[in-house]
Formats: sequence, C-alpha cells, structure tokens
Amino acid sequence: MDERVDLTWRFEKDRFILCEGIDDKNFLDCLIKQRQLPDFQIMDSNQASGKAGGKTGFWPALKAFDVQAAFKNLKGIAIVTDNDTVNTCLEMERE
Amino acid sequence: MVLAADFAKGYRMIKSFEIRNFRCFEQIQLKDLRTINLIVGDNASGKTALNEALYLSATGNPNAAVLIRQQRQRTLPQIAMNWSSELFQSLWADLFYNFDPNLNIWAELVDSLHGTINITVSLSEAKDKIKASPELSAIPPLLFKRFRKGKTTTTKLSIDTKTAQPVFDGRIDPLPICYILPSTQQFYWLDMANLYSDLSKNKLELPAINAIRQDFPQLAEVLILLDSTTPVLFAEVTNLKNRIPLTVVSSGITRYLNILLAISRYKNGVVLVDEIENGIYWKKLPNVWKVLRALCRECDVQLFATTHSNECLQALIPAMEEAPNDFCLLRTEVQHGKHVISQFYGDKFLTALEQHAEIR
Repeated sequence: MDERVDLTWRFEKDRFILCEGIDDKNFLDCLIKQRQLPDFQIMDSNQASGKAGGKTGFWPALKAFDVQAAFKNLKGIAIVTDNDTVNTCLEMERE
Repeated sequence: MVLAADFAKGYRMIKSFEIRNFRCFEQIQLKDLRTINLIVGDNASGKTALNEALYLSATGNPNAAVLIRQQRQRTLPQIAMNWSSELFQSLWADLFYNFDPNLNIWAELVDSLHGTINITVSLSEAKDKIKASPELSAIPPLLFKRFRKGKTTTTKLSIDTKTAQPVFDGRIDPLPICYILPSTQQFYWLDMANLYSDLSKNKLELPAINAIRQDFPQLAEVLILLDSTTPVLFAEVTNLKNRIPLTVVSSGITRYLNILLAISRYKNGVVLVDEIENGIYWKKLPNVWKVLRALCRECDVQLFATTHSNECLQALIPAMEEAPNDFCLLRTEVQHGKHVISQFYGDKFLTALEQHAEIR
C-alpha cells in the first residue's frame, strides 16, 4: 500500500471530463468558467487511472468506472485528447 | 454459533444464489460467485442481511434462524402471560420482507457439490393455529422445507417458552457446513474452543496457527485451558512467563484467529464474516488478505466478508494481483426504495482498487 490509501475519488457531478494531464485540466477548468458552461468534474487520466497518465491512462481509467457506486448518476463522460497524430482518434476508438 | 455437522465431503462452492422475501430483499440474484466475496455498502443497505440469507440457505437448517436472531442481539422469549397473534408474529416477522409474515421466503442455491437446492420458510401453518386460538400456550412453529434432488425435507422450529430454548421437529438433513461470525467483538468462548478442539483432535490446527504467526510471531503456542471453569483459548507469548487468555493478548488477534480456525474447520464449506477488518491493524491487512486467500484455497473454503473500510479494500491489491479471478465485489444499495446488489469481478474490481476509486 502506498501513501494514497485514503485518497479515494468519486464521481461528484453528473458530467465528467477525462483529459490527458494537469495542463489540459487547468485549461478546461478556465474554459468552462470563462464560457459559463455547465458544471463538469474534470480529472486527468493519471489521477483517474491510478496507473498512468496521457492517453495510456484512458483505458485503465474507463475500464472500471462503472464499479463506482456513483457511476449510475453520470449523464455523460467526455474524453479530451491531444490530436498528436492523424490516427489518434482512431486509436482511441479501438481501445 | 456452530451448527453441528460432519466435515463435508468434496469441495463446495456456491456458484449462484437467489432469494425472495428475506429481510430487506424482495428479490436478489447473485451469479458467478468466487472464492473471496467482498460485500460493501451503506449502513442498512443489506450487507449483514446478505450474509444471513446465505447462511440460512446454505445450512438449510432452522437453527440458523435462531442463531441469526441471537447475532442481532435479540433474545428468545421467556414465558408471557398472554400470547397473542401479534406477539407471535413479531417474533419472526423481521425475517420476512416488509415484516410481512404472510409472505414465504424462497431461496435457490446452486453449488458445485450438490447442484440446485431450494428452501422455503413460512409461518403459514402457524397462522392457521393463530386463527383458531388467539391466545397461545406455546409458540407455533416456523416451517422450513428444503428440496434437493427430488427429495423434500421438512423441519419445524418452535420455542419452548418455559425454557426459551428452540425445539426442532422433523429431520435435519446434514448439508455442507457453514459458519457465520458477527461484527461485534463479543466472543463465543465455547465456540472458539470447539473449533480449536475439533481441529486439534484431527491434528489440523497447525495451518491456522502458522497463518496467524505470519503477522503475529509473538504467539508461540495456542492451547485450550480453563479460565476459572470455562474452557478458553490461552496463548504462550514470547517473553511472557505465563500463558494468558488470548483476548488478554489482543481482541483483534483473537477475532483473526477465530476466522482462521473457522476456515480450517469448515473445510469444503462456507465462512461468512461481518466487518472482517474489525480489530486488525491496517498495516497487517495486505498480508492478512494473502493469508486468508491461501488458507481458503488450501481448505477449499468460500469466504463472504463485509467491510466498511477503504484501507481493507485497498489492502486486497497484493492478494488480488496473484489471482484476480478469485475475488468478487458485491455492493448492496437502495435504488428507488428497493435493495439491490451489484457485482464486479476480478480484473475490473482490481482496476477500480488501483484507481483509488470510491467503490463502497
């Protein structure tokens, strides 16, 4: 066990954005505030997966989201990824 | 606490389970159960009731109704001046969904040894008697019927109001064994002494003792001695001159040993534990889970354990990494007024733990 033992996270809002890293999270936070968009819970894949950040963390995070008790309250999940290559979206879909 | 039964023959694993009209459950169905099944959920969502439902169905023995009543800190009635139908019905009403004794409890359990077993529990016969005589000199029975491989076994459970002891009428068909441990820190001394004694007679106590020594190496020896006049477990502790009662060493160690002894004794059976983390220091929990899994595997025992503790769940990770498919998560919830259970298995359950997600 590591030091994160008690640092559990939960779905707190009914809209959720999963992004690649902390910079993306900060950007999205500002964007939502600036544009007065509906309230989203934003989390980067490293925190959500507990394993890996970036695109690599998406699948481990998504794989077990539905185990959470509050998953049933979610209206939607948006995934925000950098379009690093022309195939980024296709690779994401495949995963 | 312990139902008298012989050591079961062959490995018994509850594969699926369904029950209707029991306590808070109108109907629940569990499939593909595993060796270690963790039960989580809010207070009053049905965690303990699920263990009780499994116990009642897996034992198929009316004594289970008496035992789970006692574990809920409810005594059996002493003689009353006037037994009314209301008084009688209130005795067992909490077993039935919505406290409605007009309903019948029905359960179906499929295990790897016996195939399908059905049980029904009802107060129907008792209700007829109540109509005939509103004041009763004795409490009418709770009727248990069990159906297995085309055979029906019927047993009636009454209470002798003079002695407040349960009275059984009918055949009790021995089924594979099942043990239930409540969440409270109270210990049933004779029960633990019986567990140890049964194992010791067959020279089978060592796996449990060796298992507890992994985390508590100060326990040099465990044996049954008289504490005043009661046979209890004593321990020889490193650096102590005298042997002392185990609870004087630690109530947490005592409870952990109780679980280990139950797994060893109920070989090929089912062990149900309420709030398994009670009394165990958090740093010990990862190895405790490894030990429990290994002993369950060695003894072919299926474990159902409730927990409120996130530390306890996080501590599963090292044991789960060895064999994720040995584990199942059962979460009891109330949705739209109905008590329901969600199930998650193996790799998905492990991933959720690694995410540090709130899964309770």
